Amino acid sequence: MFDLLFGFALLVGLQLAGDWLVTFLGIPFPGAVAGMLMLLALLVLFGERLLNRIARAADLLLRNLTLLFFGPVVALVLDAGRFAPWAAPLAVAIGIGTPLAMIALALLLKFTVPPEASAGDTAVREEKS
Amino acid sequence: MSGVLAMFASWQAFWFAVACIAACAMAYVAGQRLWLRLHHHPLAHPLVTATVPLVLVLLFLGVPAADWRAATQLLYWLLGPTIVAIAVPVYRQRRTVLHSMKPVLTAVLAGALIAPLLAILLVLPFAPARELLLSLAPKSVTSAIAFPVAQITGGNPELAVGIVIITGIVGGIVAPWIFAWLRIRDLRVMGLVLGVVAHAVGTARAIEMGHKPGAFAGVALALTGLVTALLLPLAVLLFAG
Repeated sequence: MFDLLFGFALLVGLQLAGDWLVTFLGIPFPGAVAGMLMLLALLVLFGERLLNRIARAADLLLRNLTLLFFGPVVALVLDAGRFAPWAAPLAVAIGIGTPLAMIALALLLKFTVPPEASAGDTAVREEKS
Repeated sequence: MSGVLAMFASWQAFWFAVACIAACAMAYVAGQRLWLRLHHHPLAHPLVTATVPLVLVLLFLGVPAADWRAATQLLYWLLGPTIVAIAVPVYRQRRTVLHSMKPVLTAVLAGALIAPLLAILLVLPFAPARELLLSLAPKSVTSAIAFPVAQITGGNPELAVGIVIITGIVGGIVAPWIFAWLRIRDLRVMGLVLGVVAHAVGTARAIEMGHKPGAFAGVALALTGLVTALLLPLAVLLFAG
């Protein structure tokens, strides 16, 4: 229980610190992402000791990230009429753009990533399962 | 923050907010169970299945979107600490990252450029509004990052989140076909492509494929979000300011 509270306090504290930092520096950057970088630096500095203290709070939030998006997604659907004129460009950008991006990236990696020992057989086997 | 305070403006507003958040939680739990039973199929993502009953109830009760937004602000406020928490999985996977530095960095940097550029090029013939372009740009990063990035650049954060989720679903569906078609056998490549282009929905798919693609997808998802948060607002400032 104490670890959970400590974890939440640290995560909220770092978010506020990040918000304050980007406001202070006047840079266009999400404060929470600055907080994430600070936490990463702290983890590199303190290692497993810090990780064990904050893991529970961090996992609880990350596992349930989806819950946090019901607000915007439901509001978006209620307001869908506003975006109806953009239906065609949105369908093209998402429906065609996403597969194209995947194809481009997959080809790039196929020809730049050297094969890993025995990676081939496992891929075929796991693909079918 | 003002939204959270608005929640306490009156008892009526307070109980309305409690009811809305409870409804979200119930819809979420039911949606998660269904998703698990359907082996994390992209189309059965809780934000699809659980949104339907929520929207139907709100339409039936005639709740305006603005009231719903104010009531669910508390959930939105948890987003900040959750973004900070992304450092934890990145740190846990540090060996994966350091061991496969080159493929991971290639995938993240190339993907963070390719995905938004393709989307923007494809909508240019439609003479798109600035708000649409800026909402599309973070389409391949996790909604946690797309939301604040769209806020900063002047996109519509809600639309950006909707675009991100549909991108994840489309990516999760087409990825196995693309891998089969291009004869991609390397599990690391599969994980990276899923994580970079289809963020959390793709990562769930990669986890179903095995431990290794899951780890690579998770790392790719977090790093693509980070790179996009660093570079997209700057790019907008430089080229579209």
